[in-house]
Amino acid sequence: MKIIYFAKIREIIGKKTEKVDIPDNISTIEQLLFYLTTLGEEYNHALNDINKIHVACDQEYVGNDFNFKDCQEIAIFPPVTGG
Amino acid sequence: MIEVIIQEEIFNPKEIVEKIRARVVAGAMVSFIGSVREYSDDKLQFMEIEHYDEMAKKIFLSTLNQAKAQWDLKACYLIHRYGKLYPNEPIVMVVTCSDHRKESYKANQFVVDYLKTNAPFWKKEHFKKDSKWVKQTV
Repeated sequence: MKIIYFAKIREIIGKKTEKVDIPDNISTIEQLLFYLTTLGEEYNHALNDINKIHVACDQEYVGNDFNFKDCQEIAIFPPVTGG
Repeated sequence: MIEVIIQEEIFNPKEIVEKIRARVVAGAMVSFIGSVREYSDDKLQFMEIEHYDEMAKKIFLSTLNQAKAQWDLKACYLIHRYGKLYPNEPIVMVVTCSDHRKESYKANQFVVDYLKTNAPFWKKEHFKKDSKWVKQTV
């Protein structure tokens, strides 16, 4: 699964994008975020507060209970500050 | 007319207004320009704007199409910058045109409010001694 990180989350994890092998039993965004926090201290630090994280599947916002298995690209980022 | 531009280079609001006026005949035109603020106590050196290009384009186009349909606009134009920006430089400009002013005002505010909370852009402010990511304000 291709995952892209932006802004503060990208800085803390230290990667802009990566391919992650996701176990078959993980299917929702909430499960994915929890799984990613187990990959290392930097992931845990960047993603531990689920309320401050937004996720997009193929450039569309999705909620925590969304099934991401058909997504080509998952983006994970903090609240936006454009404009 | 609907147009979305996402670019790194600085833009000239006056030229944009003239460009739209040359293409669109409308009784009313409203423009909003958002610029990099200066801080008096801890001087901002520059701002960096990061963005998610494909998603930003999708969101801008769908928002402008929605505004155009809802307020019967003659034109809806949006330009947003990314990269390194200096104090007072323009970040974003939204222009709405309609037969009468109320539709242009309402549509313009709708587009700006929507992009502030949904468009995938992130600002980082760089001061003399440190830098910080800007927190979302609605």
